[in-house]
Amino acid sequence: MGYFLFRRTISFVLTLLAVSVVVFAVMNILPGDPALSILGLDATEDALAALREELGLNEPVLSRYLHWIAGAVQGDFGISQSFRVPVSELIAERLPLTVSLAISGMVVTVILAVALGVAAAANHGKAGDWGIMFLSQLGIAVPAFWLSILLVLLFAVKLRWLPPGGFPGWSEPAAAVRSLILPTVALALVQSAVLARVTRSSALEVMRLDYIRTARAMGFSRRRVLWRHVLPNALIPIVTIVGLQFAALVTGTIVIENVFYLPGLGRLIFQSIANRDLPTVQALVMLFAAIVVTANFIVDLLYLAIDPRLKARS
Amino acid sequence: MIEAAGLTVDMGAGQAVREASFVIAPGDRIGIVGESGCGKTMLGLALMGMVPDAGRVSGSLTIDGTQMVGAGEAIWQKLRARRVAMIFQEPMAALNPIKRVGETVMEPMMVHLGLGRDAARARALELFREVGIPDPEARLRQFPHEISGGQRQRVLIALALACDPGVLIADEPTTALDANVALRVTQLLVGLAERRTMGLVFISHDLAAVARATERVMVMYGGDIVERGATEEVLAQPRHPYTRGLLSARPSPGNMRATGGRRGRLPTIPGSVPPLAELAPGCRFAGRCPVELDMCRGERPPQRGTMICHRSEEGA
Repeated sequence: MGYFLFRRTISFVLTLLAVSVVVFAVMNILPGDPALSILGLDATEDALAALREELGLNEPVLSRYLHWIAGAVQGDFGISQSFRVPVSELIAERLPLTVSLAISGMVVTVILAVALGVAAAANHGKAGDWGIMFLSQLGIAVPAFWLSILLVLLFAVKLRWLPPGGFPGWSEPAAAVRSLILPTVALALVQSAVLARVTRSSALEVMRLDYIRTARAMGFSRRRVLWRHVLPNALIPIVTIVGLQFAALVTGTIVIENVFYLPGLGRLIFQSIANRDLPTVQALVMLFAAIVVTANFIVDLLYLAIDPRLKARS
Repeated sequence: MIEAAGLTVDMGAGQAVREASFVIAPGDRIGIVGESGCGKTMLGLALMGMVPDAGRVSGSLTIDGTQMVGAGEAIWQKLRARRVAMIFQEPMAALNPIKRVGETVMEPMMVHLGLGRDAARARALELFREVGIPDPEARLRQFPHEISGGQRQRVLIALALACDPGVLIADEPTTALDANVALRVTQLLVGLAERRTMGLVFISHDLAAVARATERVMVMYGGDIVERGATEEVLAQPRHPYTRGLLSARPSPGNMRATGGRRGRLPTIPGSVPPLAELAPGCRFAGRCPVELDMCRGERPPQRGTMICHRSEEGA
């Protein structure tokens, strides 16, 4: 167990390191002159040289990487070229919104998916099962941005229950939460469609096993058997997919924040790419990667909490 | 007290159990023997109300006076564990792998008997002692994968006893265990049935285990109870051709010599149990029976004393 944690932590750090090399390489070694792309084709040679100097582009690649990584570890990602403020400040302002969106999206996804997936498994082969599977097929087929637009049309434009987009800031908590409802639902519906299917098939698999028959033979209610015996044993594949989906949710915020006009990291990365704001893009890609790697790390820890057999093996 | 009269389980493709009638009183120890696919397990499941969805149960089955044929799932849930409990063949697969075995045994007591955690734990400890689990305190905290097959079967027996059932159905309880452990588990079940005056239904194809565990035996073939009687008598003087075949297929010094065959080959019953849909409408054993008559396939054999057969005893 202790050894497993140790090994897993090492691989966590190594993965992040590898990601940082790839991110840095893609941004810096690929052809194309950042100074030229920032200043434009009609910039003078002097101006370009000055900007290259300012960006540190004249130094050797390795020393630039070390410089960048040393700063990044301390939370210093340099100065944003388009906003002219430290990248870390940009991130700090926008992180709470994106993280709230991703987490609330994940929570809604899990609740919806587990409820529907277990219900479908419990009614295997009956109308309820078919209905839920049909809806989830629909959910998988529909792109999130299109669903977002439909949601806005219905709940914001027609019914006027919720704002169509924008964010009032955290100083008005009620309004802030209201403005996050539609984006959360848009994010969660598609993901929960996938997760509901995983939940259903995993639950069906477990329901065939001998120990579920034992639980039924002990006179437990169907509900108890489902939630106390089937679901905990069906969790391993569910948690695996949740880990992957968290990554998809975080990247999904890029689209959703743009559709709903929310000032989060997703919008920031979009703007930074459009502005060729190299330090910001680099920092954000690194941050997104770190979130994904962390999510996978947590998933591995959850495996241990769920299944004692893994603890014995690791 | 379980009373079955004309109990039938129809699986659609055919009858897995055909008109079974018997009584299991407190303290009775009854064996059900037969090859795989004879309907032994299905009969056990019928006594638990756990026949698969496709199965139709008809006839009469009363448990402590309540008619259970046609009873809903909610009524069955009240009876399971408290009146009738069942343990299954594969002790590894039959225990929830992510629950400590103590928690598993405590659960029915907390759910059905309303015991608190401490009381349930104390009773689980008692049960572990009763079924002969060594170092029970430590065992309570272990997971199924941490204990041996024999210990797991004892845990399952403790689980089945948790709500003090009147009848325990043991479906091939010793088949997955090695011979020594199997013997001790069999002795344990007999001892428990005697001490608790609990009915024991011992389902097995292991005739030696059935001989040790039971007082009466029912031989099943193709869903029919083809022969029944005191275990000793049936095993010593089998009357039905199927029972005879079954017994002669058992390895023993006697029958190895009797065959006189090369390299002491065991006699076998020719063929195998046909699928439900292909069973003859008359005697189920027709087609494999060495003493078959013309009428056997088409007509249901009559009850002749302790067996159902067209042959009179002398001719069989």
